[in-house]
Amino acid sequence: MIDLVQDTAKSYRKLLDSFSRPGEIFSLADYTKNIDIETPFFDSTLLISYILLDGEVSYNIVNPKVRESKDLISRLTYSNLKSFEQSDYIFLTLNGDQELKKEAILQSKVGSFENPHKSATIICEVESLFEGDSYIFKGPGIKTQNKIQLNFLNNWLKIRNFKNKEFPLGIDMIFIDREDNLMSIPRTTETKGCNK
Amino acid sequence: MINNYNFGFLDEGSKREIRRSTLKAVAIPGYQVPFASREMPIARGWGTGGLQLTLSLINKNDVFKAIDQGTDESVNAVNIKNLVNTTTGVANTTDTNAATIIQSRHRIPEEPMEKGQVLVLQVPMPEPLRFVEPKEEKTKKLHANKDYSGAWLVLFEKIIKFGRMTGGAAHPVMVNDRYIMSPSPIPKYDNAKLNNSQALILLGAGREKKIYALPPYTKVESLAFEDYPFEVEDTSKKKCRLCGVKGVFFDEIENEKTGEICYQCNDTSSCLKRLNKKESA
Repeated sequence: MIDLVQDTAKSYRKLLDSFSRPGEIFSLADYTKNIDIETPFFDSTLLISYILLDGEVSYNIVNPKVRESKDLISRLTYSNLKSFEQSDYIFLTLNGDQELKKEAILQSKVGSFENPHKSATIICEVESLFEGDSYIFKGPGIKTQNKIQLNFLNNWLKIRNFKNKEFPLGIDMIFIDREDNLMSIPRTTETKGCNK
Repeated sequence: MINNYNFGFLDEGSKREIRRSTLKAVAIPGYQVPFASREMPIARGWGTGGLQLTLSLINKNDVFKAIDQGTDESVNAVNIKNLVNTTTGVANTTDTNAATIIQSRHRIPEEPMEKGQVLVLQVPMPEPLRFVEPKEEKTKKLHANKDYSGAWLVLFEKIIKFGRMTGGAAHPVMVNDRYIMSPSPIPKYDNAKLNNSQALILLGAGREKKIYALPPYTKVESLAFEDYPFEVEDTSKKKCRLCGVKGVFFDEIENEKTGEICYQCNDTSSCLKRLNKKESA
């Protein structure tokens, strides 16, 4: 059974490390093994919802078992379900509809110049963080550059860069894979090389 | 007396809110993220912002160090260490290299911090534009528009009045070419350590209810003019009376009877390390 104090505290540090070092991969497997609830998404998705969600914030989720997913997250975290435009956190699960995922990112909020923190964080499930198209990342948190591999939506980077075109407005993205690995791409990260 | 605290004193809802704000702060380096600063068992202005950051970060595997103006043994540092230890059971240390979380008031440790360590700085006045604009509503607009003429004007006026940029601490910095940030009242000597730091630096202002951050390898420049460059305290000719080191940040000590001035390392743990090394050699 998950320890909601220690496991979430340790997982949060991994999440904070991943935000601080974009493109680096961190494992949540030590903590997800304690999750004993059946979910229609990755265990690490549930773990991240435990870290971030409560009644003070809102979320949405793209998942084929939409009703079951929403019932579960709302029941476990007391978080409020809102539209994509209004959600603080948007979960895009692996089996979710591709077009709906793109729509969710496009509609997500980017904050305002006075309050750039009032923006959405997108949590994306992918098959693996060790295979796929190559991307080069630069920016705060990265010494020179980080090369990463990722298979996500077609044109996801183009959509992400469109949302983040005017810093400090933008979205922050968290990627998790089937093996409970974690990588984050905050809005400050510049992409270079690949535009797939 | 009830002493069955939650791990880390704060309730889990408070930790979650601080954690969410911290992640936003890391994603927008130098930007002050508002948070619902909680009542703590120490008075506001005595490190409650830093303490809340520490308690939201800490877990059982951590090793904690607290320093106050460079010293591990001052009242403020000892009380914070005792509070963290009592409510978490986490081990304390004075060794900068052994600590995973370092909470500090007004200094960055002399020994370089490394990947995996987190420096938490206590901040009394997070807003670098407060001297030119008292209203929060307006300073938010100035940051939004990247209108920093006020911050430059403060430095310019110092040059006009005194012929140099006076002010020994909290010299403002430009973060990632976007936000002007107060680095907390660290001496100018420490400003260079903010630039491309290997460790994550978090800054918390409990009374002002703000959290901001510098991710590792972030460009941080101290504000300066072309003809009046940023200058740090010159410590190259001073020497610690205990360990003999030169070129670090010193406390100036005056002998009341003779009027003689001597210097002592401000960072007590690095001074002690050098003394122990000397003794065992």
